[in-house]
Amino acid sequence: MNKIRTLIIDDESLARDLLRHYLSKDERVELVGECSNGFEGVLAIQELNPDLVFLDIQMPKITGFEMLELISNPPVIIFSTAYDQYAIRAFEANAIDYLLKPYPFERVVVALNKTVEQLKNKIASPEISKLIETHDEETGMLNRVVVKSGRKIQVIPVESIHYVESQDDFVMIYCNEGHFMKQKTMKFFEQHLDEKQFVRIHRSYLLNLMHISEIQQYEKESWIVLTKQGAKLKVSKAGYSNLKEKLK
Amino acid sequence: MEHPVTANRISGLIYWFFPVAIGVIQAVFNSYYQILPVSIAFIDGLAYSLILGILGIATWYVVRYNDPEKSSIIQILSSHVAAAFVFTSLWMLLAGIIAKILINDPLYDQYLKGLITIRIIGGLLFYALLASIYYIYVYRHHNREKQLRETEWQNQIRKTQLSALKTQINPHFLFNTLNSIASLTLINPEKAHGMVIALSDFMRYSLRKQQDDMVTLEVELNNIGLYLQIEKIRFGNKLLYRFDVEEGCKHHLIPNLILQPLFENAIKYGVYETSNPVEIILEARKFPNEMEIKVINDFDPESIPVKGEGVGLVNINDRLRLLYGSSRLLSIEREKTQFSVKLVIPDIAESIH
Repeated sequence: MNKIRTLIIDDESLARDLLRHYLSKDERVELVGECSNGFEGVLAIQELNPDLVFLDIQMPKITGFEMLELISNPPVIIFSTAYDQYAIRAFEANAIDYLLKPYPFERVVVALNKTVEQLKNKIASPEISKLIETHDEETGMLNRVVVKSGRKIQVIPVESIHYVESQDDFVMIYCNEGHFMKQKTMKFFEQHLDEKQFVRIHRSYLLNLMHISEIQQYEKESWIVLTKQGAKLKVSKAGYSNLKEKLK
Repeated sequence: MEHPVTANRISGLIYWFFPVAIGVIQAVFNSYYQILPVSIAFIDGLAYSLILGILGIATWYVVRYNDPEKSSIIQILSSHVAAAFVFTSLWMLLAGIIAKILINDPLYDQYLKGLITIRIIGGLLFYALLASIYYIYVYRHHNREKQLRETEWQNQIRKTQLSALKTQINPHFLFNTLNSIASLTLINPEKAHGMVIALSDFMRYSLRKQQDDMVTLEVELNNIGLYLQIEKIRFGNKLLYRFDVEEGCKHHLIPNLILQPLFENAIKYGVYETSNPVEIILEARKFPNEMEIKVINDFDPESIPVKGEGVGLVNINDRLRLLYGSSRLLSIEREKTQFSVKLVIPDIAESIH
């Protein structure tokens, strides 16, 4: 059988050292790379196409979960974390394998066994999206959104978002830094962006009040919002009353 | 508190319904029984009900001025009795003038004269009723506010108790350190050994029971030193630190563990998020009657760390307030790339504790 091409993503060098040491003792594994943050991780996954990734959650710049949001066909993921209250709940709900630091070699072997099963039977990781869903539910108010455009990953502060436009099962985020696609639902953003700042003015639009320039009425019951950047957004009847409520 | 009538459209409508209804009913009555010609009846009805409504809105302010929590019952009652008479007189006067200007009929003058007593009584009663309704409104509003404050207070207490427990053991720090030690046992056993001892000493100090234990700055800095020593193994040269302590500060008493969150924050938001080395500096200066401690660190202004719970600084401020009686002992300064927190620790003889 082919070796399992494995990638380690962890910001702590001692943690990588230990895991590397463990993996060297299991001959099924071929270590193809190591990354010390989520930015490197995304690029490495795209370039090296590993079968398996050991992923830390708490990392600087972007977290392990935020990194996963940027990858469309994730490989098998084994999470490795010291402590993360939300993640643990999400893991238990989705039977993904996760390793709580510090973990012994035997635990790694069990995780590798599961991985072999998954790869052999080509079971895609359906749990990943469910995992992210559960984790999302536990997440509090967002203060940043991580987006990707080609090879470039950016961390967008929530204040610089002008508006979010829904497009089937993903959204377009329009912000100071440009516009980016993100594979999350409008509902997710409505629930996790401060409702005092973001208003659902239309089925398709979630507007940041800080970037509103004016509201124009063009027919009896339809309005348009003009943003400071010149975008024209339709406002539905319900959206208009939402807007008026928030602007009081 | 908003005026109940102008607060929203519905309450405005409900309020105006009454004086207008009274006016209309009266006008209809007068027209039907041919006491007055229709147009005069309606002008009379409308003039009186309009003025009544307007004066009723002004009555709210008499109620607000007479706060049962600030004045005695006697003062309030006499105030309202006087106001009731002023209300009624103004009503009769203004409405009467308007009606007389619009209506020029001696029949009407006679009608008015006959009505004076009834209208005076009506006016006084309307005032009394309206004032009572306003008081009920105020009472309910106060109650609602009080309840909200109670629940908030309860939640705050629970949160503080919880975080007081949580701050004694930082799980991230603990498990990450244990993992580092596990790793070191394989590649550098001596370093692992040192780390185990440091961690053990640090945890022992952190688990001291009382929150109001006072220790000298020297003892506290010793513990912070252990903490930083352990973190330095994690961050290597990314973490630099220095203590700049004036003579005479070393033996000053401070609440134990009060500096811990400041260093945790400096690492979380300063060292952790940057790729360049970050220096954390602690400065201690002695002043008459107090000591000032500053914890300063660089940070990357472009980084947007995940929002923490934010309880750390609030807890410190609360603790200082409880111990020393002042809520201005903690201050924050944030410049472009430097963040500093200043604590003022009064001399022990001056504290309320």
